[in-house]
Amino acid sequence: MEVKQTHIFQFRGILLLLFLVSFGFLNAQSKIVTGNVVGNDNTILPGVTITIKGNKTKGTQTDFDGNFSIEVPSAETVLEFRFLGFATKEIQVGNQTFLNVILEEDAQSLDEIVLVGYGTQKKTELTAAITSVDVTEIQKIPTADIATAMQGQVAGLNVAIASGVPGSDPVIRIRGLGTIGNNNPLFVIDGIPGDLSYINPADIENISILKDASAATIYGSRASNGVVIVTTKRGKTGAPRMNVTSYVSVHSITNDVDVANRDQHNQIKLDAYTNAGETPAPYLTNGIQYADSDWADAYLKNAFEHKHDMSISGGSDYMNYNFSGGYFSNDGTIINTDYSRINTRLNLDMKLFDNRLKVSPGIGFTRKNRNNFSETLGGGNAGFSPILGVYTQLPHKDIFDPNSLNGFATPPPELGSENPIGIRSIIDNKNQDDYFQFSINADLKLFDGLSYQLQYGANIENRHQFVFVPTYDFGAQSNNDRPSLFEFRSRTNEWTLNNMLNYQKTIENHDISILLGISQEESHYRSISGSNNELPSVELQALSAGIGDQSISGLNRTSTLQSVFGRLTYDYANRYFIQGSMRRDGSSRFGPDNKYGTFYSVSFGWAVHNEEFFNSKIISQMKPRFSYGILGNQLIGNHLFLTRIGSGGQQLNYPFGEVASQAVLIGAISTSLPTPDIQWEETTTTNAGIDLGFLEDRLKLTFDYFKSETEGMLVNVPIPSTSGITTFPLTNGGNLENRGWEVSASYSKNIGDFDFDITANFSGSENKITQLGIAGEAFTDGFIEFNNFPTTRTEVGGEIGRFYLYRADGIFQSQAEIDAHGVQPNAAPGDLRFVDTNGDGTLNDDDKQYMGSGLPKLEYGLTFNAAYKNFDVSLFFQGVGGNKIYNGVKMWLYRTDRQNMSADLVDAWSPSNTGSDIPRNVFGDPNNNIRPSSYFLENGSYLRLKNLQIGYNLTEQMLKNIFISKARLYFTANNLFTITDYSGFDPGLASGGTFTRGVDRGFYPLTKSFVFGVNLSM
Amino acid sequence: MKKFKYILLIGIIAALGVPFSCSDDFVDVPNKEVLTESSFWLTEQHALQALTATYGAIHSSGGSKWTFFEEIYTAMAYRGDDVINNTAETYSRALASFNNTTEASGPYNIWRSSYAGIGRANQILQRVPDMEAVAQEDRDVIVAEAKFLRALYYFWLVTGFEKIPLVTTFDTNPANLFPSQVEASEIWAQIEKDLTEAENDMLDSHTADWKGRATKGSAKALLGKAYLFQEKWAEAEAKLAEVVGMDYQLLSNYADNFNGKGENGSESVFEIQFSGDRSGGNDERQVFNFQVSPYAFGGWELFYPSEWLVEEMKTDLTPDGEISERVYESIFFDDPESEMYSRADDEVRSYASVSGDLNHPRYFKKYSANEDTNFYNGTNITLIRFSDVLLMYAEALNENGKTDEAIAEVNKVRERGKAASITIGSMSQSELRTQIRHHERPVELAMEFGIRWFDLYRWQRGNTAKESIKTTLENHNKPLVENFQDKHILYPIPLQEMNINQNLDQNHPDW
Repeated sequence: MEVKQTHIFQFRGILLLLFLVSFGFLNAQSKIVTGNVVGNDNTILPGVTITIKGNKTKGTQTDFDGNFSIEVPSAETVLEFRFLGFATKEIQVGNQTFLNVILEEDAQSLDEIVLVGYGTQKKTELTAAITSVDVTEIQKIPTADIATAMQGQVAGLNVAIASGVPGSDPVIRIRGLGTIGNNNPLFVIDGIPGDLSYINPADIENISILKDASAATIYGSRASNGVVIVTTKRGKTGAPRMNVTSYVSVHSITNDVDVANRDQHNQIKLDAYTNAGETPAPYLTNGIQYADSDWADAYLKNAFEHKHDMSISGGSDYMNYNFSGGYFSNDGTIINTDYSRINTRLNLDMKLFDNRLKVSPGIGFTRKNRNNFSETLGGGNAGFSPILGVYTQLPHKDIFDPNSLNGFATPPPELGSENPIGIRSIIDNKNQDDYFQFSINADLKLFDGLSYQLQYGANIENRHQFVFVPTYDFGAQSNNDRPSLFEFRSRTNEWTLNNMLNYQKTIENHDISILLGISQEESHYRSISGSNNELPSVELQALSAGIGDQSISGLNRTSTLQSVFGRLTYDYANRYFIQGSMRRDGSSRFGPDNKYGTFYSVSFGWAVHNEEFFNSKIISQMKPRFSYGILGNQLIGNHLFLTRIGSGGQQLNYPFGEVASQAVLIGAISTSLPTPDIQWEETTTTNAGIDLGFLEDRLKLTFDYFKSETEGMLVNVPIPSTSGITTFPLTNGGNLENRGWEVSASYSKNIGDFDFDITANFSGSENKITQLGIAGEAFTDGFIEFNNFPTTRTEVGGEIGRFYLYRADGIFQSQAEIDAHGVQPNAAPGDLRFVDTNGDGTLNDDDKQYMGSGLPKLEYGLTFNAAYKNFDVSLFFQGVGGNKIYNGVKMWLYRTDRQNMSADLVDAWSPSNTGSDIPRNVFGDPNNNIRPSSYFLENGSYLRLKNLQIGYNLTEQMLKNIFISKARLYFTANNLFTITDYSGFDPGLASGGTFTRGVDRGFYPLTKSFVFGVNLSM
Repeated sequence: MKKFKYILLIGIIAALGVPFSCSDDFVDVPNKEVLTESSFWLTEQHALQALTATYGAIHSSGGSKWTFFEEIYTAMAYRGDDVINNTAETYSRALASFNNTTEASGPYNIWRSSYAGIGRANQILQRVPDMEAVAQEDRDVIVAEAKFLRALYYFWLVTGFEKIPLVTTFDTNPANLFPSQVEASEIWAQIEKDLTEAENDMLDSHTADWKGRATKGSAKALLGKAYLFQEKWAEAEAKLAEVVGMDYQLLSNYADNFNGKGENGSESVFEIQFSGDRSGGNDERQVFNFQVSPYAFGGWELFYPSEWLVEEMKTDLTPDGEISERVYESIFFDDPESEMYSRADDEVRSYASVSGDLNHPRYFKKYSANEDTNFYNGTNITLIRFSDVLLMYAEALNENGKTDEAIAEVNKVRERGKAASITIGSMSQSELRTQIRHHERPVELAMEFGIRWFDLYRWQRGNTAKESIKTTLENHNKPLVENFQDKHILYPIPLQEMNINQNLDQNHPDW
């Protein structure tokens, strides 16, 4: 298409020449040119800016019918046609008096306008570190979650899939870790803070990631972890257009872990008993009377996913509309874990009073239905992973039993108890969550560049969960003697009101814009939950039908925020840019003396390429930038400044009285420390960057370096338990430095019918604790099993959550080696040797060493797009490097005391297999081979082909006789392959806990999927 | 005209904006969610709620029954010679195998639960004396019980860790919360001081609604036990004699101590309270019935009586030469008379009828009955019962040279358990000492909370007929005793606490 256009221009150029020859220069005087502008699909384009090249003060706009009229000084005049979302077009007037102009839609030109806090800016004017996400690119990735689609697409944006459970939220970090407290960024949807997980990716028009202080200060106290701004699609003037997109996909589990089957299990366990000199359990020698079940196989399955979206948009002179609806469903790769979501949204833009007032309401509704699956993702006292619970089931146990009431087998007592497949199948645990979004924006042009803007938004989230547990008996510790029911409801009401004044003025070369605003926000949460521990039958599932003990509880929380904010942007001759922002926030979360905090930033930019002295054929853009500012964080609970008294609950209650079931009395007392002085967490960020363009911007490079210092991190400060408290107080408990760099590069070229572009981004960050707690306490975390086996330690002078482990150094081959080593009295040949690193003759905690962390040193993404005629292909690679993973799964499965273990142990060290690097199987593990050590620490680097897509656009010829203007078919493979040394489930899974990053406790494995989809425009 | 329209419009919008204009009230949200100090420490009910919470720490710092039974109980019991653990289960297994590290969670839970209780007691001691809304005599009782509890928690700590921080105030200034350790003698002095002060103000007994709170007898018995641990034989004898002189009586039926029938009864000096009441979301139940019962009875069989204990018990005979009733009520073993309640069948089964289905030859049966519910239940766990007081009294008498008087006390316990009396004058001081140490106490008190290991510990640490724990364990065939090193006499100071408080030193160089 592009090529054809060029031919027309050339042809017109020749015509023009002919005219010039014919009439000479006699006609060199002003005339009126009129015309009409349409898009390449013939839609009328109102509001197209038309200027005379070289004299920007003279210009006009197309009216609502796309018509324009302009006075041009001469036939040589070149007119520039500019419109957001379309490629700028230049046309020399010549002797024409009427121009039919067709503008080409251009995804790349979208980059030119960037969402910033409370407004937009031209990309060329940016002085802050803001990345505008290429939405068309990420919308190619078929997914229900936009954050997942952004993984690897933006330098400095780290999206980690915390779990493979359908509908689970990924962990999103902007520029690494800025605090050991809450690291979640702020999400702003259509100007209103909200929950991104409820937004349908198909509805998104633009996304901006605000990374440095200069960009984010306008959001003040909530901006220190960065801000993600999202706008939803709005209608464009023209006849109604309908878009339908649809895909179906099949997910399968990748990286299965190989656990022992029955015979391997018997062999390993007998070996372990023999080595310990103990009598083996009888089931090991009873041979084939037992089953040989594959529990994981019965627990996991292929998932079917499909998503269908439809939108209708259009508009007239006075109103534009965009209506959309969508449905998504994924039935889970674990039995009984499905997730579905419906979305609908209506966005309107109404113009009143001669275009002076634009009123833009938007309404969205989302419903999520989920069959719950709970995984332990956070830090602290980690529970057991349900997946590992499945892998460690004895293969000897039957899974199904057609003769039992619920169809699942109860193991014979000598094989222990449990049937996780039975439990997973019969317990009904569901959520239905509704999210309603309403926003209205009114923009009134006052006079002389001054406008007033009112924004109001309300989000309502209603959640409902119920858990019905029928009676079952799968043996010891796994039985329920009566049906029980639990229900939970909550409602969150949030509203935001922004009042803003905008002023924009251009006086010769001075461009100035000012924003002033006030804002108020309130969030109100109430919940109620109730349970009855006995229902008369499994058919009755209402709390009122219960005949057992009832309990109820509920919460009531309110928080408010009020703010004034302002921004001044100035540039001189498109060369020197300066921006200053300020926000003062008042928060209900802090005590009377600490309610208010002020945050500010300044930034500068210099467009060297616009300087007259700068004249390079190669370098088309060169713009160094610098910013400095202070941001805040207030992601904490409410009323923490009050001295709380703990009351009620299992922790404090205690029974008194005469009989066995005496009354339980309420206990109450302080269980934490008062923190009346709790304050804002403040992050000071410095950013230096440069934007470079080469070869007419065909090659673009952006480089940023940043350094931030966080003071008064809001964190649960560890206090010795000798204090008598049982909850670490949340307060300002430490300082952190974070520094890093980001590079993004893109290159595009077309050769004949072949177009291609490559974009790449790389980033790295590194943090260092500079002060921690009250007395330099170290934080211990990364537990593999309840409170046991801590693997990470965080202390002053080092990174957050470093692995702190014994150093394993091979396997003892003989008693002589053990005696020579001298510090492991319980060891025998075949056990692991641990290094006495301080050489003091005993092996104890002082011998542990730091061994890196789970935070990648390097993260990167690479996208390659190519199009040839009607075919297009895209490849997206994503990877990380320099991070470690503690393979907790391996540690679990290398224990011979567990019910079942890794099949690797068949090859464990033995006197006849001395070459093995797997320690001997021995019951009781006298040498403590499974202690947290480097033996289970692995390199977590990986490179993954995350997405491969091949598309085909149906030709106009094919679509001629149907009401379809565009049709695209595509095939996608997700997570097709991963190159990694990591031996566990998936190196891409990261735990959500700040201190437990890189600790693999056996999360829901990642899936590989194949997608077939179709996009239609009508 | 047009201008007027815009002015009108601005007016409307401004009018909308005004109600939302900034004021400090907007960010001053009233607290509707949590109880705060401004509305506490005012009434007698508050003082009693604080006292309830101080008792609550006995169930562990978080109050979870799982922490209590799977961490604290197992960490206290599994190292003894009377108990062996089911090695298929991980709870405290490293402790039982003497290859635990400083990371072991059981000792950490003992540590933090004890200090949680101490911190709560300290709050009462700081606040309740000034609560004028509470009658003086009620204040005195509450304060005295807080001191008793503080002494109890320090007792757990000093016998487990020895050198520990001594904290006697609830300080909210973080800078003061990083204490160093003191010598064990200072802890013992504090325990004695608290109990001596407490016993004067404590009640002889509580009303029915408050049964289970500590009494004068509880304080005297714990003080006597504290003297015993320090080998203050004279003080021990005198203090325990006071308890013996009170109204306590052995239950006529030995088993009623463990089946819920004798709860807070005449033999109860101090019990840990549990309840089957599940109303209001409460869960203060215990799980011993599952823990001791065989798989075949729907139990979890976390631990078993050691072979040594069973053999020793088999020598505990009636005058007719039969195995005594207290043995039949303590263990389930290969004997024609042995029987045990089966949760799964809800009936009593003989050993012979189930022996083919059993995973292990020997089981405990204390606490296996279900008095209130046939699931986790509300049976209390004894902490000090009168027969223990009698045996401690006998031990003190014997060490004070009153061997015959001591035999008389031992006989009270034996007779109730239907074991034949020991003839007065038939044993020397040292014979009776061995009899008490390695027969009477383990047979009468086997597996009971916090008893056996701590007896072994005090005989190791004492100077009167010192006994090495390792030797005792070797003699009694404790599995994996070859791993036992000197450091295993104590729990390590928990790593997680060491990491937080740099003023702490490990209590043995080999940890």
